[in-house]
Amino acid sequence: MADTFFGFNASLTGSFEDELHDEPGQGLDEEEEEYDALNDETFGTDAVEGDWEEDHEKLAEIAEQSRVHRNSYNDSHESDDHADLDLEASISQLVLEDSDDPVLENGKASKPQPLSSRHFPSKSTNADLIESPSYSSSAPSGFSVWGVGKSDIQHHKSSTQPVLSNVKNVCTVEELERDLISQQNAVSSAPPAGLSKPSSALRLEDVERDLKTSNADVGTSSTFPVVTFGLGRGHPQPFAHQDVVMIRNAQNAAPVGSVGCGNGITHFPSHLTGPAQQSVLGLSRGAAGNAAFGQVVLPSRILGPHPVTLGIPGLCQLQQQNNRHMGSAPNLLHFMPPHLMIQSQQVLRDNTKSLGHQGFATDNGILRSLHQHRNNIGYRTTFQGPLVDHRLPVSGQFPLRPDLLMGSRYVNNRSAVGNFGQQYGHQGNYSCHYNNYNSYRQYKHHTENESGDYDEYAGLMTAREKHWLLNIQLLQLNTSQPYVDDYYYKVFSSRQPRKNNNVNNKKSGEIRNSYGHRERRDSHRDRDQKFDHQQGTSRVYTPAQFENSLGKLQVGSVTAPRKVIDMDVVSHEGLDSTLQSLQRDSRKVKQLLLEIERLYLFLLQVEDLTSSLPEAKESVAEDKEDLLHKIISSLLVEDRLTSFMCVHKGKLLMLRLLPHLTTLSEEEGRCLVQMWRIIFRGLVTIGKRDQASDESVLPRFYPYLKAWLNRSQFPALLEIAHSLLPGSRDSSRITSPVTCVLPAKNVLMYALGNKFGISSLAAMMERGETLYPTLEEKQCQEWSLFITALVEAVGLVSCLHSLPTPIEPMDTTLLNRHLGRYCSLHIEKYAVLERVFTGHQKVEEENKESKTNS
Amino acid sequence: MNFSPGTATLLEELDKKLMVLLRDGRTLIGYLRSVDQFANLVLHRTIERIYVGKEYGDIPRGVFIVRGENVVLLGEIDKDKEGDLPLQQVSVDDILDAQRREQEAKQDQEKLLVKALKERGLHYIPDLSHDDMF
Repeated sequence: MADTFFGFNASLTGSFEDELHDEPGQGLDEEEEEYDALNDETFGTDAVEGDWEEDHEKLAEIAEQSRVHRNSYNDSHESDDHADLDLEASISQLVLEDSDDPVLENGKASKPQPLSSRHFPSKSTNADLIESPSYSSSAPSGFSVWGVGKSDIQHHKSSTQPVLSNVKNVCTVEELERDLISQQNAVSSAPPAGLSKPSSALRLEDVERDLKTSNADVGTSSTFPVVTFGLGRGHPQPFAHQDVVMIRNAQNAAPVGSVGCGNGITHFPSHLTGPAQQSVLGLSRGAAGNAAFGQVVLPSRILGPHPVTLGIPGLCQLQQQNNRHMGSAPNLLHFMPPHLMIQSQQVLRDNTKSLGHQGFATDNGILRSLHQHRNNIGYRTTFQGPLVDHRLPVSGQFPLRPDLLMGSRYVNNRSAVGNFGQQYGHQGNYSCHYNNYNSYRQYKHHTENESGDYDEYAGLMTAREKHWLLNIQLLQLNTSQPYVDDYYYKVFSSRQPRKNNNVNNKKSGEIRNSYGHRERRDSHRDRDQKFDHQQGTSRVYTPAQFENSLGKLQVGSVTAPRKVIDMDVVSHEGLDSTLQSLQRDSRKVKQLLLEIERLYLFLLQVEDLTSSLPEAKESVAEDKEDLLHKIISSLLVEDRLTSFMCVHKGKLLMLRLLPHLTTLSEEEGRCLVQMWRIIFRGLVTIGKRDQASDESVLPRFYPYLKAWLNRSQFPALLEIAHSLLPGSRDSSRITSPVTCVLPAKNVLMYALGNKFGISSLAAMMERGETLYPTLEEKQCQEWSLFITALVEAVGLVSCLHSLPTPIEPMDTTLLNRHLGRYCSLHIEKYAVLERVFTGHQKVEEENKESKTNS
Repeated sequence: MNFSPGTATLLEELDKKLMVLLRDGRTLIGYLRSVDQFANLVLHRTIERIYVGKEYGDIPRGVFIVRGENVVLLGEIDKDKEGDLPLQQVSVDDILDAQRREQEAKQDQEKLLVKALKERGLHYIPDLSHDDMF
């Protein structure tokens, strides 16, 4: 039968054939009639009883160990010789004698002795190598798989047994395939002599296992004997003495002829194929007929060391056939090398989980493919085919198409399978698969988003990375000055226990709310007054305009988060003088504002020192004295104070500063005098700006002035008075253009017209009256000068009605007394003065009229 | 995952569909896949949505890596409301046309402004080096 299968005598001669003759007939007969899934060929006579799963698991472990062992061996000895030895070992491993066959032997996991011990013959010298039938001139090591033939069996007694079993296995696999073909085609062709050995058939599993475990890099693929699994259609083609081809292109059903390597078909030099070729070819011919086969490596007589890619469709078909005939899914596992089992089971479990019950029970079975490996790292298998969860990123051979794959749980068509096979024919680098696989498993858990839709890209950030980021953020939060860095939170958390304690702790000048913390008066005021005035009750929402705002000086508030407060006009042509001055001015304004900010910070620190929170006190490193000194020294520079007082925030700064300047140190006293002097000197400017602004802050200075006056002595008062007087040396130092323009007298006159001014004049007079007993002659004179001037100014006021009344109107008698001391005035003037300073205008007028009338 | 309270973190936004507004005015919509300490973003399945008037158009862009400093703000997209936009979706070509027309109109407007100011004696040079819209 072996003779006629291929149409020529493909039988092996010699003892090889003898060996093979033991079983062919029987097995063949059996398979012709019926295909028993649990036949001897696959399981051995006693296999029915054992638990095949367990057996294979054990086998897998052993195979794994031997593989590892072999790997370690390979790593340590990296030479071609040992590659040859590996080759030989792996080849010999393929051969299973009856006694060695673990499955045949009741499923005992009695793996043949470790490969390393058994299959590595002593080092052969070069001469030996050349003389040996396995010599191949083309192979780098000189070793050729094809050389091991019957003669080898005779010559190499040590490896006789393995070789024999190898051969046996080879034949039996071929036989199996052939039988399947014949089954389908109802072609009764006698199996090649070498192929008819069902009982010791080389199971696909063994083939693959052995192929896989050999990690040697032989170098050329031409040493591969490849036979396609040919199942089904197609007519066996005559294939006389031609090369064994490795058909990779599943689609092509490539004729087993000379096809270029580009197609994935490799030629094997015919001289290498040896007598085994016929048997191989016989099969391949049949295989060629089938369109859906991928590439399968079938050892002819001796297998190449490389694991070869088993075509998925090939396997698929094979298993399909098996299934059909055997009728049970578990058979499929027998076709898997044991050490793949573990991995496969694991992955399959995952797959089945996701695929439901499709795990084993589909038509096409579980597909695996073996890939060539050039390095000894080990195996990477991917699972493909109909059962594969296509969400599993497959090899890098074809791009991951999640969109495509997402919906389809499995592909159940041959074309897709063929596609895979086609692409799978490459000897690719499948390392990316493993990476994908690992990360896939990793983020598989996060794939369900809230809506339940599958989001396969979810979870790209691992927990480790997230923790790392969080740590960075937390690190940034660490602070040794929580009061400074996290003021609002700190204050808020401290407010809770202090809610009820602070009604009594009002300090002058500070507003304490119910929480016991000073409230920023500015924000309070802004919120209540300014905004409502400006916008009225209806607030139309205008979305923020952000254009051109980056890089410009901005002020932020809730209503205008990025309000640009600086408009630089950039012009290229020659600048006008006005433009220049404008630019200069704007620069000055900027500097002024910045200085105010700086001093404000100092002031805040001073206030922190006096605050009730301990953290606040701790946050300030400097002494109060130092800080105050800093502020004041800056304030008293040149004309700065006047400018400050023209700016709203500067006035507020002063207001908040003054409460702290209550100590009676001499220096401070001097400073205060200076400050008031400057203020009064520039009263016109300050007052005008103040009145022009939305809110007049100046009157709020009055209490401070009053308090200060009351505790200061006459010289200070005199100084202040002088600052208001025209022609004094103070006024001569006025540098601001505004006051230069005005006649000096107008300062007083202006003061009369200003609420603060008139109030302060009243206060001054009162103080003067109080101090009168202490005054010396000279001082009295100077003071009388002041009073005279004041009276004159009052006389110059055109409309007395327009004058504001002092905040604290003077007592009439006090005023009269005072006036009487210093100057003899016409009675009318008294009345006027009274009216001015006491606010008793109408009464006085009436009195006067009544007096005149009467 | 228990994120640290009191910290503002983008980790809570991972794998969500977000709308990101960039400094140059572009609007991107995509799934946030990864962030880092600079708030650089990795956006997946991103589309760039251009709004003109009451219309919008989407340009599919794929994967974006956005440098953190260029992000103005981002916000989560409500998938339920996403389908009920009051705006009309148009094709990419149409929206680009509309955008171009809008830009031209703006420029014309600006030219008028410059001219008017000049007549009043003010020399106004619009800032041409607009890297940022904001």
